[in-house]
Amino acid sequence: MVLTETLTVLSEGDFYAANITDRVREVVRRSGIHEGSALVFYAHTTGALMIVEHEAGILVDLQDVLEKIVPTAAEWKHHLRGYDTNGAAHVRTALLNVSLTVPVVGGDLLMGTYQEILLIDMDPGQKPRTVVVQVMGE
Amino acid sequence: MPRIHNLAFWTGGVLTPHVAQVVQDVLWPDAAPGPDVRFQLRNMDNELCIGALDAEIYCQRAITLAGADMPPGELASRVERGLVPTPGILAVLDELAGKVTLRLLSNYPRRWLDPVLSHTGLGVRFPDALVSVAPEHGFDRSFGALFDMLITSGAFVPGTSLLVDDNPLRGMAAIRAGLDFAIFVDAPRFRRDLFLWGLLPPVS
Repeated sequence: MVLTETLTVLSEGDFYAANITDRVREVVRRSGIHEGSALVFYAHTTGALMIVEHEAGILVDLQDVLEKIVPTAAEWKHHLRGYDTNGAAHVRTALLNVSLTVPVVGGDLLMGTYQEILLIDMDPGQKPRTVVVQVMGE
Repeated sequence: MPRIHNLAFWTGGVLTPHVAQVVQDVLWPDAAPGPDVRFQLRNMDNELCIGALDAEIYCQRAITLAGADMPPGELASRVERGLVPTPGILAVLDELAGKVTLRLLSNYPRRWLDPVLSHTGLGVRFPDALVSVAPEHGFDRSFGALFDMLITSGAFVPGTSLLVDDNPLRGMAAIRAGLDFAIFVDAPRFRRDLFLWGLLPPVS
């Protein structure tokens, strides 16, 4: 059996981190699937999904590391067409994950105590962001 | 010996729901409005926090947004009833009592804060001297100004004070300003984090 649902996350942008763990969990519960997996997919090109401890210091550390290896103010060729200036966000996204899979056991996500599913939106500005959750199993 | 001696809690999104969420539940009871409306409500909450809107004008705008036929006073009263303690938060505050100083930072005006304090049990846990009402300070949109005020007034001491909020961007700004910060998702997660901060024993 497969259930696919779309979540809308209201993002403030600029490295806004949204904890979507419980929302993914709700999709799993609605699916009625007991054993299987949940695919979580971020349908954008300037953000990422990650499973981390949801601690603000980690978010600052992650932002600092990304700024070191993919600096925002570099001369990104993506900007040459003059449409937008989010070149760094695109490269960061390419280095991170836009999808992840979590086992479903006993009708729930099987995750460690401190694991949370976070969406990091690295585009500037306030926008609704789309996350697709697809639960597969029996 | 824990490093943290003081906890400062934002109200909306931590101790109670956000005003925007309560308004959404009242004015759109059957289905959540679209993202544009929800963003507008969220932005209105931010304006409320910095004193750019008062409760009545907030309610007028929300009613217009919803196309509802409701007097602003009625919406204000329904918001008041909807601002109830976040599930589980009172028990966590009680566990912290006597171990640390608890300060409340309100991001909504006294029109709603005073009933919350007097009717919900939050007031006994936050004496008046430890309540700061952000809208009364009329800060600009930089929350750094509020952090500066809290530090200058001695209410918040870097190194020994922990700010608790559900806004991740505000939290990252707080950390970059040298403040300790705990992100709030729900009471059970926060209780677990308080063990990691060395403030409470592990959850049994």
